[in-house]
Amino acid sequence: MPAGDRDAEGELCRRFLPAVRAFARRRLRGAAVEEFVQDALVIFVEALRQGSVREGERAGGFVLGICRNLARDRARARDRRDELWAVYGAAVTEHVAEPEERLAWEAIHLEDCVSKLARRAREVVVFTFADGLSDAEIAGKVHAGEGNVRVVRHRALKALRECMSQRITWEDA
Amino acid sequence: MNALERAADYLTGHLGDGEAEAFEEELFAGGALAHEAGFLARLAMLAEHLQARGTLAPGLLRGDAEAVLRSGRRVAYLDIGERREIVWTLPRDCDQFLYRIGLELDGIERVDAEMVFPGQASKRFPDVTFDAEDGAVFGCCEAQLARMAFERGPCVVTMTGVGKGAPPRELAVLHVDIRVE
Repeated sequence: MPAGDRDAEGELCRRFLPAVRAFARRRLRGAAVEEFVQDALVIFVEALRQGSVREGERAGGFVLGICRNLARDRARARDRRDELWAVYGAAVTEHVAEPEERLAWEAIHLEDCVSKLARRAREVVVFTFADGLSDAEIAGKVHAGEGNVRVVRHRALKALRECMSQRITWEDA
Repeated sequence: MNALERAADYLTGHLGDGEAEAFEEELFAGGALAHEAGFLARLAMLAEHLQARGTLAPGLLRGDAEAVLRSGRRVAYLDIGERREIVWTLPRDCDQFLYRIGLELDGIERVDAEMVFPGQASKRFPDVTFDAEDGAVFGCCEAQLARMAFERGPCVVTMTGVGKGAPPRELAVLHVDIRVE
């Protein structure tokens, strides 16, 4: 990618954002997830601007490498993070910043969808994604086997996926 | 197994290290897997946000409702009590809408609610969270969602209860006219 091509840079950041977020989510909870995402992307932007990423089709592997290295070196990266943020932080913020209104809208959309789930499905979703419990812990709370928890979660997520792709109940058609 | 299920298994630790690494190779290659994993990671972030505010699931216990009131957020609280005709105004500057509906809940194990805007739209809230000892059902929703609903006009809320081994019975029918500032 030619150095200085900010549109292409932004497009690449947005393309890999879901994957980086999922990678971080598997390892971290709470605010640390978004912190990791931002850290990975500032390193990526630095590499793009230095011309280190030459083949567009290999960018995914490059970002994955960044994530893995970051996960390994997180503790040691603290000083470097501050340095990178000072130089590239504003650019990344600009590329992936989301308006608060969009987050608020997605939040009430999820609220609307979760409230339609049956209790068991709702509990499994809440325990998994809001409370970060393991399947063994969830199984104990809902009095079911761990295998059943996994099946209920898959079904609940399918329902949520479908619901989140539609309008909010009270939204005008 | 579809992409959403695989992504869920990845995020919940169902994949071993080798499987997770292979998943990650695919994740960063783009396509449906990244889309679904990104959806779930975002869902988790939003779920944590709503859970901390008491609005992720329908129905609250009394202690949770009290925590919402103490949160420091701008909470509009409506204690409906035993009334069944409700005329009220939702303040313009609130962040959340918290309400309490007094109900006779002795022997009740499950409560469903249905909200109907005649001739327009309806929504069913199955099996809401409650504690019979509270003698009430508490609920909380984000004010933006409440405004969206009540701007439609008056509605009818039917609360149905189920006791052990008993058929469902109507606990209350509320005629609700909440104006939005």
